Amino acid sequence: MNLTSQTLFFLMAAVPLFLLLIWSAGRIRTAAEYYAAGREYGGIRNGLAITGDYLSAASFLGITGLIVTSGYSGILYAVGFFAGWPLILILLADKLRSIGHFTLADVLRERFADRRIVLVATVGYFPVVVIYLAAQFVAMAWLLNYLFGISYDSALATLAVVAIITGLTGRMIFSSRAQIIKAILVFTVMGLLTLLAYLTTTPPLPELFSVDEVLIRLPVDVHFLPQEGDTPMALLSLGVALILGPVGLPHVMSRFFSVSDERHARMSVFYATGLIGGFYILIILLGFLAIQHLEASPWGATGTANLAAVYLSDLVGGEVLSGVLAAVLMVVLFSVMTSLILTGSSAFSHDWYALTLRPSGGYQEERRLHRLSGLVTVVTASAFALLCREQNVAYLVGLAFAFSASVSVPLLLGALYWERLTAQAALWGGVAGLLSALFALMTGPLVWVGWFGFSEPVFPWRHPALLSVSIAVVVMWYFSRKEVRNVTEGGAAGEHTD
Amino acid sequence: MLTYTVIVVIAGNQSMPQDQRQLHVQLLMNPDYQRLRLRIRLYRRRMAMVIAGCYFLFLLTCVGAPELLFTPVSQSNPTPWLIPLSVFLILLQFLVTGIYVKQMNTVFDEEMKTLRREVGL
Repeated sequence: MNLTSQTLFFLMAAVPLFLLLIWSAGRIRTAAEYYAAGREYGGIRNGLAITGDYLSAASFLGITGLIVTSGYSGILYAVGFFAGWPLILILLADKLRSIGHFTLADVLRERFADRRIVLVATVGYFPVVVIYLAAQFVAMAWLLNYLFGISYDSALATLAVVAIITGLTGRMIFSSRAQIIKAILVFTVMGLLTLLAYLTTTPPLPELFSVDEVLIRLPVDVHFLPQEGDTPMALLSLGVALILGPVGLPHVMSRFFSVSDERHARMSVFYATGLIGGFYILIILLGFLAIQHLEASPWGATGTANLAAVYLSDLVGGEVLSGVLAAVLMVVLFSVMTSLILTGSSAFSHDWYALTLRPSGGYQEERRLHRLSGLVTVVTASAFALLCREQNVAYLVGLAFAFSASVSVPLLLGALYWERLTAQAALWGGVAGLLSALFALMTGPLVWVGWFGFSEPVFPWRHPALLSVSIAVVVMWYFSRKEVRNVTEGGAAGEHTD
Repeated sequence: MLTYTVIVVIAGNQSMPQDQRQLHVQLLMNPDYQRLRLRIRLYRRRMAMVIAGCYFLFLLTCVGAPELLFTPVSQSNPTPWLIPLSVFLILLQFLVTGIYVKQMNTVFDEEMKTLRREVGL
C-alpha cells in the first residue's frame, strides 16, 4: 500500500463527503421526514436533488472508457441512457402520481388479483439490482486499486464487507440537501476537468471528433461494432435496453413523488432533464478529449480503461484534481450502492412478503427477510463483479437495463396502459421475459465464452433485450387473445345449452 | 369502463363524507371531464411516441446505414454527422420534455381546476 499525495487528496475530499452523507442520512428516520425533505424545495433546487439521485458515476466512467477504447460506440450509450428519462416522466410519473402508487408491486397488486405476478416482478427485479450493483462494485474496486495500490480482489472483498454492513444496519436514504451538494460537486469537477483538458488539447474542436483523427490515436476499428461478435442487430438490442430499462425503475423519480405540488414537481423534472442532458453531452466531449491525451494507453486490459477519466484528470489537473475526482466518484458510487441494496432487499421483504404474501405477518419476520435478501444481493453482486472485472461498467449497466426492459417494463406498462391484458398473460409474459433474458445472458458471449470457456456462444449477442422484450410482449399478447377468445366462445356455448 | 370502476369505488368509499362523494361522482360523470381525460391520454401518448420515434430513427440509422453518420459535416469541418446529431437528439428530448411540462402545467391543469371548481370541489 503506497500513500501518494494523490491518495491524501482523495482522503481529504472523501472523508468530509462521507461524513456529510451519513449525517444527512441519519437525520431522516421516517418516511414522513423523507417526504418532507422534498417539500422544502421547489423548482431548481429539487431539480438538482433529482439530478443528484440520478447521476451515475458508472455511466460517466463507463462511457469515457468505452470512447477511449473503441471510439464512437460510446456515444450510443450516452444518447440511450438519456432517452429513457423523459419517457419516465411522460409515461409513468404523472400517471403513477394520479393513481397514488409508486412501485411496480403496488401497480401490479392493484390491477391483478393473482399474487404470483408480483412474485415474478420481484424475482425479475433481482438480476437488475445484482448486475447494477456489480457495475458499482467494478468501478469502485478499480478506483481503490488505482488509489491505494491494493489488488482488485481485495478491494472487492473490502467493498462487499462494507456493503453488507450498510445493508444490515438498515436504511440509508440521503436527504435532498446531500443530493444537491452531490450534483453540484459532480458538475464542478467534471466542468473543470473538461475545461482543463480542452485548453491543453492541440486540435480544434471540429477535428477532435473527426474519424481520421480518432483513427490515428486508436489502433482499433472505431466505428460502431466495437466488440467481437457484435452484429448490427446486437446494437439494436442494446438500444432497446437503454431506452426501456430506466422505465422499469420508476423509483429513480422518488423525489418527483415527494414534492406536494404537482406543477413544481414537473418543473423540477424539467430542470433535472436539462442538467442530465448536459451531463451526457459533457461525457461525450470528455471522451474525445481523453482520446487525445491518453494516446499512450496506460492500461493493458479493458478493466482499467474504466478509469480513463481519472487518468485524464491526473494528466491535466495533477494529483489534486484526480484525487478530488476519485473522491466525488467514490461518493456517487457509494450512494447508488446503498440505495440499490435498500430497494433490492425491500422488494423482497416489503413489497413481496409484507404487502403481498402475508399482509398480517410480523414486523420481525420482515426485518429478518430484509437482512437476508440484502445479504444475498450483495454476495451475488460481488461474485458477479469478481467475474466481470474486465468488463466496461457502462456495458454492465446496459445489461441490468436489459433485464429491467424484459420483465419490469412489459409488466408495468402493460398494467397501466394495456386494458385487455389478462392476469394469466401478464404472469406468463413476465416469466417468458425473465427466462429468455437469462437464457440469452447465460449462453451469450459474456457468460458462455467468458466464464465457461466455450469457444462459440450459443446466443450470439452481448445484449439480450431485443430477444427477451419481444418474447415477453408476444407471450402477453397471445395469452390475452386466447383468454378473450375462450371467454367469448364459452359464452356462446353457454347460450346454446340454455 | 375504467371511469365506471372509479365511480363505483368512490361511491362506495365510506371514509369520504357523503357530499364529497357525490361531488366526485358528479365530476367523473361530467362529459367535459371525460373528454379532458381522453385528451391528456392522447397527448401523453403522442409525446412519448415523438421521443421514442426520434430515438429509434437515430438507432436504426446507426444499425442500418452507419456510413451516413460517419460522413463529415462539410468539407471544412471533418466532424462526422454522428456528433451533432447525437447532441441535437439530447437537446430535442429536453425540448420535448419542456413542451410537455408547459402543456400539462398551463393548459390541462387549469382546465382540470376549472372543472373541479364548477362542481364545487
